[in-house]
Amino acid sequence: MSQYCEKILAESRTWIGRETKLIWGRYPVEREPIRRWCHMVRCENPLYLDEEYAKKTTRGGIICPPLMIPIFGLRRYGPSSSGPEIDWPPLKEGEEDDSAMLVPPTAGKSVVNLGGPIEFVKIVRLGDRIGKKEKVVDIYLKQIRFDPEAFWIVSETTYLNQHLEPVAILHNTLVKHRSPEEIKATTPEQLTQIQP
Amino acid sequence: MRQQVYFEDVREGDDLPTGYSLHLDALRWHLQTSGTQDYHRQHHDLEFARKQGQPNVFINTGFYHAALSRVVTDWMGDEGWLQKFNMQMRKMNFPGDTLTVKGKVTKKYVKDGKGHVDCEIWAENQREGITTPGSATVVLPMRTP
Repeated sequence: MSQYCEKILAESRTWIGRETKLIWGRYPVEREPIRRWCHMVRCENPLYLDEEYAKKTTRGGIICPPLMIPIFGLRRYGPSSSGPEIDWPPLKEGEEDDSAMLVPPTAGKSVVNLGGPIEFVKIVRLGDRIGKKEKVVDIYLKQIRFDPEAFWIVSETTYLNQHLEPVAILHNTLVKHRSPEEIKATTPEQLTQIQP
Repeated sequence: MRQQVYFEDVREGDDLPTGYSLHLDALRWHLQTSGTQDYHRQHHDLEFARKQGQPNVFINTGFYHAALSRVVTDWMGDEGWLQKFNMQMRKMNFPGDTLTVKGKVTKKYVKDGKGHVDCEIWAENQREGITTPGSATVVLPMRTP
């Protein structure tokens, strides 16, 4: 391990155990985003798309596809995860980007989200609000194809509904890695000269 | 109403009959951004992706969530409950690839009086075979609860 990454990792690991406050998704569970999500993979599940049909089932109406829960728990991505110049609606006073919640220091800025196991606890319906609390569980270095010292960040995110009932728990792994340009740079001074 | 699969009807080793393929053409690439609301440049800006060390723009996590879960939720019917889902992005899928999603029953068991079924699910493409292995646990209704 390089001294540079070792130093950052030591600082980064002090974040293990940190937890965010509860942050609410920007919009409630709505039909149009569900339609677009289904359309993306040609999903025609009537429980997600057909209110008349869904009402006749024991579900009692349209439900949110389980894997959409993280999307409805999203407030907005910040620049560090969206790349520069992404124009999201402005935040209200006192609000923070999702990415501002837990950003342990890492050697690189580039991100690959590997996902991870997610457990579903309760049905989410149209009109529900989704909030989330995120906790850092582990941080370590592991080689990937283009960075011998990529930072792997394991987190646990609990999604709650407007009644503060847990609806899903995600154990996510995020890889933050350096660009080839960043890998060539070996000193913090050089790294600060690289444009994001 | 849709046909319902029951716990008693499932056998370990069964293929899920709901596998399907998606060609990742320009339209599907746009739908990826629209559907997942993931606007990160590395998924649609080739120059940006290459600057980060990636060989190409690549499919994002939310797309795999939708694609892999569909093979299970289509199969489990209106009364099924997706309890757990997992996947690993081991290899990337690029523009022009054809993504095929499949699944198989690996285990069935009764726990807390409910019929649980574990499935292996995966996405594969024509270049590299399986790119995105995963798993799911589904609770199915029982004919004789």
